Amino acid sequence: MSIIQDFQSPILPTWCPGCGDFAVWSALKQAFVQEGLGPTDVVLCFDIGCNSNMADKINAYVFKGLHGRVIPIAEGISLANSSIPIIAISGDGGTYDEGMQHFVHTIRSNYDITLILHNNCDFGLTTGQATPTTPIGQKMNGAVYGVVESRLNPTQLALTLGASFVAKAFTGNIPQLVSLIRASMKHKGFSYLEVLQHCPTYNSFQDHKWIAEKVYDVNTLPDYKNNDLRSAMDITDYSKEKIATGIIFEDQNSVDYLTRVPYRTGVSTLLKDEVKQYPIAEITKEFV
Amino acid sequence: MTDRIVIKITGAAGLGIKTSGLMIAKALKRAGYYTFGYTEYPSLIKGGHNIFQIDVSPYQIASSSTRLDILLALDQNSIKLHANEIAGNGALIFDEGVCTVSEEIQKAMTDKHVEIFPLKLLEIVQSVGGTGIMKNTVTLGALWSVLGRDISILNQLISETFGHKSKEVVELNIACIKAGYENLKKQTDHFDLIPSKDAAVKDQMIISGNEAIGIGAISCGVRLYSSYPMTPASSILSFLAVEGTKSGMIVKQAEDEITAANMVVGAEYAGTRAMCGTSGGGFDLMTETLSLAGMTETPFVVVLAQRPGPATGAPTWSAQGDLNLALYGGHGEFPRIVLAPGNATEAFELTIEAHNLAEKYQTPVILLTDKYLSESFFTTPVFDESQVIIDRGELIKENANLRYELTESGISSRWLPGDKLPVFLANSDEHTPKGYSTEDANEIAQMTDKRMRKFDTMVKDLTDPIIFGEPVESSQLLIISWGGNRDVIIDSQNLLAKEGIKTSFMHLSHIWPLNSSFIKDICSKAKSIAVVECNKTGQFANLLEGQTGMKFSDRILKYDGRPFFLEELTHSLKDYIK
Repeated sequence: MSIIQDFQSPILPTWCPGCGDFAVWSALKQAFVQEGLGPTDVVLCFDIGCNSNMADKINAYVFKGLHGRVIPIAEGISLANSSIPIIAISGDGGTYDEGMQHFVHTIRSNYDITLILHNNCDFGLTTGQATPTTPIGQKMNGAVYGVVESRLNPTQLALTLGASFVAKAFTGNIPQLVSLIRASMKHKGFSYLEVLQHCPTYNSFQDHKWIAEKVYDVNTLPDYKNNDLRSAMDITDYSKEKIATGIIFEDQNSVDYLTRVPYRTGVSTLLKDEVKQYPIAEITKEFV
Repeated sequence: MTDRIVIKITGAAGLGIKTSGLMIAKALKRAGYYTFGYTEYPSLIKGGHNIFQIDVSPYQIASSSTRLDILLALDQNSIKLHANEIAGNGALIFDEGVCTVSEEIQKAMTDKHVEIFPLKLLEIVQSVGGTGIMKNTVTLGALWSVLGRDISILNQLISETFGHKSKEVVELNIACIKAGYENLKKQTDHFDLIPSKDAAVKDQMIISGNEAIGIGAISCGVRLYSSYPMTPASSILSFLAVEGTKSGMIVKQAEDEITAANMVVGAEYAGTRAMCGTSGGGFDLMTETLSLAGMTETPFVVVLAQRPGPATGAPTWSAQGDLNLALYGGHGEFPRIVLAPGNATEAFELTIEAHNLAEKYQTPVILLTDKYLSESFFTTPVFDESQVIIDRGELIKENANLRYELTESGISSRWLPGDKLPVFLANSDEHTPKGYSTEDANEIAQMTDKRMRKFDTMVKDLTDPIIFGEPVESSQLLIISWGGNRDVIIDSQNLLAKEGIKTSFMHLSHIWPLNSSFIKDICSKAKSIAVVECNKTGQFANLLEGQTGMKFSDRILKYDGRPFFLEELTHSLKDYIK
């Protein structure tokens, strides 16, 4: 059993007051404790951005990589050691811009990792530029006449790519966030958890109150089935007045990458424990 | 009797040129001869002109001659392009069913005393009840007859090659061999090789540089190979997808080189051995990750298989123009190791060494090859697995404290996520010994010094370059080169020695860090020095100048996509003999 204090780092957060990152930071630790996981039982992978400044504010095994590249780092770790929960953390800038290809292909491959994506619709750390989720027309640093690109709908993108787990949370509802992190970790395959959050410094167009008034939990819908792709696509359309949170879609029959690899069928060891000298005589004799 | 015969099999891509070439090379090796196989092909799938050149000798060789003795032409284009290359007293074997020899070429051949052997391949195949696909088998038989060799070796090889198919397939192919063999009768003794005295060659392998790298990776416990296809590295991916996966190695074709490289970093951080491979353009994409591995002190091995650039360049040809990329690619300053194998055996050995060094120094190691090494076929002894050592460096299971401890050697102990030890942060931000981000002036400088102390430790642990030929004191020329030029230079030295010219050759496979004191010592004793490399600007000569303070102005440079050929190089070297 672990307690919240086990995850306490001596380094204190540096986020702006009111930043949604505090909520994710807190919810992560709660989720680990509720799952009975200690600091050596998880690997946290971080990107670059305000969200990933969490890297040294949490006491656990951590890899902090490059901007946009957290997904392939997490993938590599999961291939080498699939026995440990691997959580990748990034933001809307890093993953939807710089690292979009990784997002697309990790969904196709269905590695057994969790992506917690902080979506605050702007770049914070580089002082308020637009990301793919900034609304069209919004004036931003570097887009003083307003954003001219259409707004990306990452939830629908993930759904159309065949994601096996798509969930959405809001930093104003920590108990729900904690339960969704736990559900993400339990899902076999790639879990995509998008966390809507306010950027108090650079996002005045969709602030905490605005999001709070828009969100609702899919569990409150009378007949919502989260294994139905059409329903999932329907409720996540930007034309909807309200924003759905909770588990939007989950494929209960999801088969993760390592299980799909035919030549690893029946292999119970981990790649990390397989480093040794391998015989080559059977191979070299083919060349004689 | 001759000590080298050069055979070229040429035709449109898709005709099985490489398969036939390898079969002939293997059969000749079984007959006791050394062979060297060199391929040329365009960046096309079907129809482009493909060449497989086999040099054969009773002596150890590993180079391609500019001469051509026997041309096996499978299409009209082959006659047009190569008939005039055939040397006096040579032979032209061609498929009369699909091509003709013009009167002009006929005359040129007669003037040079070149024997012409027309074959109606399809007719011959059909006469023994075979199908079109067996035309190549007939050509093998015909060539074997022209060489005046015993048919039993070829039959044995056919049985082995097609043995996994039906008995009928084996018998049909043997019938095709016989038909081809009997259709042509040996006319001359020009193709009689001096009998081989080296019985051991029969038991050697014929293997390409990329296959050797693949076997090295399997042998030393690489468990993940991630790569995006790019010539001339792609055949490592293909090879490991067949042979690596047999032992459960995960072979992952990633969506791009950025992913391939980051997966390696993630997998190595988590404790397995991993590798990626690419060519120059893909390596460009990997350089940010190279820098990440340097900063987080994660072991990292990448194969950089060079082809001519810039940009897309000439994708299926060879070059050594990415040395500077290997040495300097990636932002910021971090220690790295660059290894450049000279032939298949070195490719095997250095792949293993690369992984040991990457784990020992917890830093990137670049295995720098080129198309010529990657895709040429060497006759080489079976790799000695009893010599394989697996050194995982400071990978600990207890007494862990600070992951990035400021040590004298620069090397800190490493442990793995999941270990019940103090947790740490592998951080791409500049960091403290625990891994926490820092912007403190002293801490930035201290950690930079710590990482770069690994470079000082490497320098104390350098491998000496190998000197081939005469001792430098008694030689008329010191040749300096690196990587895949190794064996053609050795063959050139042997040609020069026959003329009484004494040369020494310093071959470098450990490119960085450079053993400059050793090099300076050798060079100071040389009467004349020529640096040989396949690029325009003399990147290695420039490196030598910077590292030794000496001048290396005599440079033999080639940058037309082709490797150095034997006679061409020998001729160039003579300009520098003192």
